[in-house]
Amino acid sequence: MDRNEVLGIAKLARLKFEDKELDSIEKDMGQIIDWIDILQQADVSSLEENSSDIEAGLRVREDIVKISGLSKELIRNAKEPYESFFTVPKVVD
Amino acid sequence: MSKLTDLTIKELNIGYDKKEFKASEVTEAYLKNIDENSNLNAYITVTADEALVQSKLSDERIGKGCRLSQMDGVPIGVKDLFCTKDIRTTAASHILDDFVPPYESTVTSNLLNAGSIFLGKTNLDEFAMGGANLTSYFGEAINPIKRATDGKEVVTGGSSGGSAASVAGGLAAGSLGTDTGGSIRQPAAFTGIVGLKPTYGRCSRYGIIAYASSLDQAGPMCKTVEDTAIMLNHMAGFDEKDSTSVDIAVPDFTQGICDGVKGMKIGIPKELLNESIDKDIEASWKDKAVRILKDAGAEIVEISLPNLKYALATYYILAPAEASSNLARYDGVRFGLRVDGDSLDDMYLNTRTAGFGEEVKRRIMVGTYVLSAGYYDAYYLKALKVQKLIRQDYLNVFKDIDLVMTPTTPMPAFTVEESKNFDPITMYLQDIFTVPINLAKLPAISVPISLSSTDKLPIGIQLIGRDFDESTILKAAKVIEGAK
Repeated sequence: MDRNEVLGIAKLARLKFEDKELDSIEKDMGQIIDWIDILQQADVSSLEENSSDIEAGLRVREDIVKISGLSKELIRNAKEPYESFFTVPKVVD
Repeated sequence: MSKLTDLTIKELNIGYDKKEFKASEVTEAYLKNIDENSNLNAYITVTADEALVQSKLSDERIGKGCRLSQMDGVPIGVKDLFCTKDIRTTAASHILDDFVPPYESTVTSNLLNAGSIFLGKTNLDEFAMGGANLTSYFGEAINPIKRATDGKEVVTGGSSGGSAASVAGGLAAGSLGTDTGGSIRQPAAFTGIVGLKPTYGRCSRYGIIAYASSLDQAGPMCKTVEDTAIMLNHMAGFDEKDSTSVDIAVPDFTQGICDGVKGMKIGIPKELLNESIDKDIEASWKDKAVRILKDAGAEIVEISLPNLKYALATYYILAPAEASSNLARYDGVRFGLRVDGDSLDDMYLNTRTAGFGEEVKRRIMVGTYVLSAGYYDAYYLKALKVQKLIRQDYLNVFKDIDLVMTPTTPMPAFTVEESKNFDPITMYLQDIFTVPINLAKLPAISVPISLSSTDKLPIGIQLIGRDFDESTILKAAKVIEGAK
């Protein structure tokens, strides 16, 4: 795990680290990745390829339109709502 | 008569039936305790006014002899990870510190419909990520039990640390927790109470703020095994709002709880016999618990779970991977903290950087890494396969035995200062006995068995059962509880 890799992952995760934090996150991630590498020793050849994780089968519900009537309540937690819309910084010039 | 806040849920039921006291009196006694013990930091939000209103309604029903259930009039704490309608729900994170859900989680809704009284929202590790309640934005919860040798305060464990402290400290008759890798069982062990993680799918996850959705499960934390059964009765059940909740009959978990373990076969995994375990915990497990269960008529056998050694690594790939995806929703647009920026991307970046704590960021980073191009197959897909092997190991042994028994934790509770010397992996190793159970989707309980010899800190034993067989683990836990 090197600095560039950490910065690349941070960009994907939409997180920003100060230089000092980068030292410790680089060290921690390096340790964690080395530690989880034990998994490469596990023999999984007995498993069928693409075998599903779902044994009992996922339940499928009827496709019925329901009106929650929650739109006013849902917008209540937004920091900068406009009427019934969420607003974000301008994305188109 | 003992103090109202010392009574178990079972004893509250007896008292209500005989009209010895009112639900409002019990609620007021708990609210007084919460106020006087605010140093435990067990609650993030206390909902005293709402609790008193609910308690008056319970009083009326009790007065008319029309109690809704055994949970009617029972004051409980709710981990602040369950969405509660019109009551702030923070996940112990700055990013949600003013979030007021417009809806109620299914489990809390079930308990409200059963007449339970909510005292407030209990403290936890931020987004349930942590093993000592040290990552909460609102500060750590404190274990009501101090270390005897030096009188120092110790951690509650985590992530359901506030729920554990509330029950152990007499600040709730029972509390709701959630368990993704041990977050109910480990704090229950550290505080000397009972905590049960039901089978994945037994309780609805609807309205529980997601950490790792394929592993998260709600469960009760109580003073006694029987209370745990009573509370679970009013939490469990199929819910169409959670596609992973399982449509299977919910038994009365109190039924047959005193039947004992005669004729049961209980397995001890040989792979754990050489783990580095505190000597008092080792003796409580290999000697005391084995003797109690043998004396009660169970047969103890050695079993093999060959893939157990991969469990922690598997968990610390799958859980962060799911977390990094689940926590992508916190972007400042629709709810929670918003920190402005020059562009949309800047706003995302600024909001998430200011809103998440260190451990949450670490897990998002690891999760993003194992899901990124080039590593997805080697880590994430491989971990999913190993998870299947681990579950298969348990299914194999359950062909011959009824329960698996291990310690809950490798060491008793430690102090906040001691934890500062832990690197992340040392902290993750605390989960060695609990994590495999979430991966295998099975039910497990932690029940107190003894106190450590010099420090006098609680030690918990973990009993693991077959899919949806919570009843059997409750029976065995009752035997261990009764032998003390």
